[in-house]
Amino acid sequence: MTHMRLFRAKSDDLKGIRARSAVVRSAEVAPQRAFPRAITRDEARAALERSRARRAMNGD
Amino acid sequence: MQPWPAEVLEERAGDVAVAFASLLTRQAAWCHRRVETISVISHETVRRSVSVDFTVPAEHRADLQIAEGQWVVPLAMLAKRALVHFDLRDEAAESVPLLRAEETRIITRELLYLVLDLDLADVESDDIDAEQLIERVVAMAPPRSADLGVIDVELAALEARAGGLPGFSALAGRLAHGFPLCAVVREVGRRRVLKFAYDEGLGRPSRLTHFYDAPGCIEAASYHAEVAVPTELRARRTQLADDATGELFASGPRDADRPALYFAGAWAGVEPGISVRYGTERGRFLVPAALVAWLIALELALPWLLGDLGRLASEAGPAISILLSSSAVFSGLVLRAGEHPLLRVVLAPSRLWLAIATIALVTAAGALGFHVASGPLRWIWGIGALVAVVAAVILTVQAARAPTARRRPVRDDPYAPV
Repeated sequence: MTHMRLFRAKSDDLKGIRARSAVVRSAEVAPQRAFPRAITRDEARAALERSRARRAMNGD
Repeated sequence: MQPWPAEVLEERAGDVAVAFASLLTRQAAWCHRRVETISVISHETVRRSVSVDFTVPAEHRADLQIAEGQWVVPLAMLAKRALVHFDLRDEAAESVPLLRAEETRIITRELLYLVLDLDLADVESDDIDAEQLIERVVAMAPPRSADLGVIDVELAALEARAGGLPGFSALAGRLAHGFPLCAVVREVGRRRVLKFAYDEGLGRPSRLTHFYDAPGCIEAASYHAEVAVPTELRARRTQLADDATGELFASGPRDADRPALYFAGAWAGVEPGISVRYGTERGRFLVPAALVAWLIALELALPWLLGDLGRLASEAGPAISILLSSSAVFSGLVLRAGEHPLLRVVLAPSRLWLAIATIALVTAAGALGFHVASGPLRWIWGIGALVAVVAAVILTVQAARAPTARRRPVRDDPYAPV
């Protein structure tokens, strides 16, 4: 630590603070893209049926 | 014939995926609150405890049931990497089982096909084959950057063929990096609180400023975070902010020993995290250290300015005793057992200044004791006095800027959004 650094005021800018800090990662994954919309149960159920039918047809 | 436990999930994966599709796209609607407690264990390790307070929507309970008295709940999206000291417990602090990686993979595979089909609803999709891409995404090994690059390329190619797959791309992007933490609970008919915890290392050395990534802050209707600050340290400021833009979303009380943050929102920037700046309390070390440094400075400066050092050199016994007694105080301040490792790291520079002042003192005392000639003796004492004054000034400034141990009044309302 230099004398100048000791007396210097600390930056309050939070932009890029991660690079100036000791970082503790989270085990959780941040969403890179938001889901465009919420999915209802009926939509999901219908999509599952279609998807399974398509995969069965393709022999998956 | 009844299926064996390992076969049950194969049968139930589709139904569970139906529920997951709704739950993962509307988390704030069923997760009431997330509380994260960050405890600084040492200068190298932090323990993060996350409690999730939720109610499984009634319409999804049957879909989530995988066996008699067993329901799967996606608590969080965790990164595909080894977790240290991981623990999952319920309200009664009893251990909660988790789905195995292979079981989780069966569900996420179904989920990806399901969401892909939703995106393809209005498209002629018979020639869309995403099997290879989906298998890459659901692989459980920690992804290498090359793997992620291949996934990005294949995803872009698929989107080009199908004309935009916003839901599938968002889900595949997350599942390429992580997997849903699937707790197996014995009851979903009421509001539940489950808690998971794990240790994380401090990624880069910085004594005073820590940044705790907080991607989970938007995954519930409200988010609370607390930092358990080690003894003799204070959180000078605690802020939830986006590292990419610097936008501030919540701010905790200043100079707190357990600062709390509150946030409720659907967006907290690209790289949200909690920035904490620590400081040492002034009373336990900094003030005594500054006083000792000033005492040393006076012990050296006054004889140098006013005393007859040549005469002192011939009758040095009492003077040396007085001088060396100060170094005993130094030892008392430096050698302290049971100190938190982070505090030790934070105080290291201050202790160095005190050590420098003490070395100046011992050198001066030694010069006196060994009857150094009058000329060099004056130089040694003069330089020693100067060094001690510099150390004393620095320690005084640090003590003046440090927070007090007294509990400060909490900022008007710690839970008020900024």
